[in-house]
Amino acid sequence: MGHKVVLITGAAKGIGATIADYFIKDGYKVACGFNHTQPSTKNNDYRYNVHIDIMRRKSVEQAIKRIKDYFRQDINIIINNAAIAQEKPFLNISDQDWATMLDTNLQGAFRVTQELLPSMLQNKWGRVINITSIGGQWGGFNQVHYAASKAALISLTQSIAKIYSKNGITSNAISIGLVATDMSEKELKSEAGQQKLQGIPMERLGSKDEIAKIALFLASDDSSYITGQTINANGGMYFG
Amino acid sequence: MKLKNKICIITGSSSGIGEAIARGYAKEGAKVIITYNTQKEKAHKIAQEIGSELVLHLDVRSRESIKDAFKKIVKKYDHIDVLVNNAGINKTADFDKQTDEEWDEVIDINLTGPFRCSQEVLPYIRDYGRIINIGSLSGEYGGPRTPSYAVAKMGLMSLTHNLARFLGERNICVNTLSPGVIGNEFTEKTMSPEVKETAFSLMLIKRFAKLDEMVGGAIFLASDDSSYMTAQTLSINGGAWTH
Repeated sequence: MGHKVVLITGAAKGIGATIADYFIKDGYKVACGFNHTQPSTKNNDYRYNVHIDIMRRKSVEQAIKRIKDYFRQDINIIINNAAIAQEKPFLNISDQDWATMLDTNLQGAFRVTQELLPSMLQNKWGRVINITSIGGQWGGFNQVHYAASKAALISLTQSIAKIYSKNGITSNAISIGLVATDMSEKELKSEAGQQKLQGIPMERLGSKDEIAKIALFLASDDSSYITGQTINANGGMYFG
Repeated sequence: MKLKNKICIITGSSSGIGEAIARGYAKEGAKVIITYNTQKEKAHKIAQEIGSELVLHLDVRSRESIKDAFKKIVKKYDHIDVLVNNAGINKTADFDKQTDEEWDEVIDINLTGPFRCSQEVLPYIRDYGRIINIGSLSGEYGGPRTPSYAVAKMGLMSLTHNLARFLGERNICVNTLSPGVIGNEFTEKTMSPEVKETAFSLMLIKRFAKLDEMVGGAIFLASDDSSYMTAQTLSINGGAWTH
């Protein structure tokens, strides 16, 4: 198949941007999905910045078409990374907060994955990698809607594995503990965040690089018999 | 190369998964120590093929044997980077037929063995090192025809957790690699068509694993790529349903 094509949503910054860098370095052709902020690096043979609003089906369809036109190849690997977070006490979460959270973190991955599966089935090869969070495994204090969306994403990961593993498409999640990003910086200032830090056996935060390397492993042929799993990168906070 | 010059000891590396991991690590540039209990000739043959410079007798039932082996490694290489607790045996029996002797032997080798090796490696393993315990789908699933084996392997997952807590501050990652059913002569001989059907019905990728499919995961867990993963189980089982 030559150089495989990977679409990473939310690749303008944070973990997504780091994952994109690692895949480009490893020889993949990388479509860097962004919504609000355009990535600072320019397009080239191995990198294509593409606008994709995962909350809108039309935008997803258009982005996929543009990526195929740009690389003249199907997309082989999807990394559903785009997500939002919101710190709010449970009693203050509005219906709108809840809906927006689920629409982005869960339905977003649903839409993108659904649009990409037909070509993966045709090629009898595919990788679905969903970026989820420890909150989805043990609940959250100040982000109940975020935790619920991430738990549901694990379930989506398992369902895709159940349906499509026999077709050469594996589906796995990477579940992140506390990683040093803009998103987690806010949480770390809170009391709950400080408590969490003390509960990490490794006594340190994870780095974005440490997540990107796991994504590379899951995308490679080295992981061909791994499917339906959640790979926990949390420094030992939660045992899986 | 992901393991260039890393000093890696794999217990029970004269056959099966241990051998496959040893071969994989050598390809990634590791200094591999092959250990055996009974298959001395085979161990030396593998070592020769992969360019391993050290072949040692190691019986995980004996603390003296473990101490002796580790001392020899450190004498030659100064330290240890990766310990793979792989040596294991299996005694298949239905629950009501498993004997005390079988139970004790399996627990002694499959669970207490890794405990002894992990304790003895502490003075020699470098910070940022790795301990990988080879678990089993049987441990996650609960047998069914392997009571002692399943219990030992589940216990090994708990040892992984405990050791990960103990070694976290040294940035030593401790994880379990849990293989599914490996397709080999043993599986062909011992599994009836009905048992095979049941196994396949629980698996998403409907075939048994190849030995080589464990190697990528074992390299990943030994490499710098897994530096924030600790206390986890990496299940390489074709999506077998275990709960």
